[in-house]
Amino acid sequence: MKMVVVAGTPGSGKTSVLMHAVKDLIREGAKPALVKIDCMWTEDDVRFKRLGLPVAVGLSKDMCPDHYAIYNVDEMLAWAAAQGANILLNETAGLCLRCAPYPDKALAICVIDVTTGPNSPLKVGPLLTTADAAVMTKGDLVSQAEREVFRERILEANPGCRIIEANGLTGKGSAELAELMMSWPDIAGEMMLRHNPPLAICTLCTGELRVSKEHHRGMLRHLDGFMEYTGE
Amino acid sequence: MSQTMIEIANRTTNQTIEQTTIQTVDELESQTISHVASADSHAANRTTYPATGPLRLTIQGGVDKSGHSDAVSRIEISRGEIIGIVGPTGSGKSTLIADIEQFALGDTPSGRRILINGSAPGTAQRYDPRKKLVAQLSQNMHFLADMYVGEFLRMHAKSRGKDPGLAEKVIELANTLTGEPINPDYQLTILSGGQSRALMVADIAVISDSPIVLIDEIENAGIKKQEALRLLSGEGKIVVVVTHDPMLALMATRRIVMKNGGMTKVISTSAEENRIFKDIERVDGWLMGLRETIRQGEVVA
Repeated sequence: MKMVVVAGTPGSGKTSVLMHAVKDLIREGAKPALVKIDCMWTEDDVRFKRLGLPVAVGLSKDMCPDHYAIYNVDEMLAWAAAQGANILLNETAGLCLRCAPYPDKALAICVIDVTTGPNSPLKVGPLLTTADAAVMTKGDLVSQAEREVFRERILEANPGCRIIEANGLTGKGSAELAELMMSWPDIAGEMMLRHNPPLAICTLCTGELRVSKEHHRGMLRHLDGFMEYTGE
Repeated sequence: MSQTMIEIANRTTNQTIEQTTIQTVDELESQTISHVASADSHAANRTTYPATGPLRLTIQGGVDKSGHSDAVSRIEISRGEIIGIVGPTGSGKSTLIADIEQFALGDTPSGRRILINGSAPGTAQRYDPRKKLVAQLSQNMHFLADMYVGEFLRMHAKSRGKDPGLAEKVIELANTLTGEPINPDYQLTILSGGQSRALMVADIAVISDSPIVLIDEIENAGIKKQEALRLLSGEGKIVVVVTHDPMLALMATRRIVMKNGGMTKVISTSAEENRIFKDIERVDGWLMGLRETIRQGEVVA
């Protein structure tokens, strides 16, 4: 079984790019199965099911969607195996830039929208810096010079990564992406996360709604960067 | 207890890019400098394409929007040639340009194949800007990047493995194509359509400098289109230009006619058309003069 984790900010084109790649995977004889993780609601599973592959949805509700995805990796793999699949595609919710829900042996793909401007690769953080491949989308909306500057910025953030220029509308780049997925080694043995998720142990995590500092305890970070533990 | 937790917190967040939420300008600048250093190692192992020597671009036909084979099954284009792509809107002109830009290997919706000197280019030539054979001027009339003109051009030169000092030359050249001068301290996003296009043209001529140039609809650019085309066609380049403009279409030696996504025929510019081109050029010069008179607030005599 191969595992592919597709992350990226909302609206960056994860679903569209992945849909084209799924068509290529099926054409090439692979057997993909897809788990779409979202927070509250998604309809992407309906779009994916039209392509004729097994699709499951995981809604994280009150849990952080990336933590939820990481926690449920075993279950997703078991489900994919039961579907007779040999590639598990996991599309993440794509919300927070701090988490990178990439297990080390999975192929980690960060989808990033070129129109967000050349500073965005530096803002994305571990989602991009620990990815194996960055998929640049919406390149048709900018000049070639802008695409090349954006590409340079991605390489500054993640010097070793493979860059694929894709277009979710035309399917450009999907063949290259599918080929990369198929060439990735199978997962084996115990997997580790590539990057630690953020600290999330404070009163806000347990449902405190009041806003001011005085109401909060736990591992907390001040606006000036000072980090402290407050509490018993 | 509190102290230990801070230490743990610091250790675990050490791998992230951003150490603090709020950064001073100085900190941001030093970060940029360290990025520059890491990217320079990229430039070291670059190779460039030959500036001269044989170069032959081949387009192998694929299918149109209905899945029927292109009537034109093969076209060969050599150095120094300007080739036009014509056809009604939606006929597949931009798709053909996109096929060439990405060196389609039968892996695009059209199923076309693009060959260089008879064979498919390698992965590096397809994707690495430093080895890229193609420079493209797209229909986009504006920049979206939130950067200053000079900063952006230096960054682009670096991505192509070129001297960042070329930025000044680009601006100088752009200012010969547009009425309103561009300043390196301008924000890219405030440039007018004409200024943006002029900058894109000059950037291709100076920084991209690839042997194949693709141009999508230069006539809508609000710049001196003929000069721009001459500048881009430069010495011994292959220029592919999508156009509805009779003057630009006839500057090409041949033109590919598109319909319903397919390549239907190739027309060679005839001697008669060359004669008509001279007339169009005269009329265009006259119109340009009138336009300039009106722009300068003078009365047309």
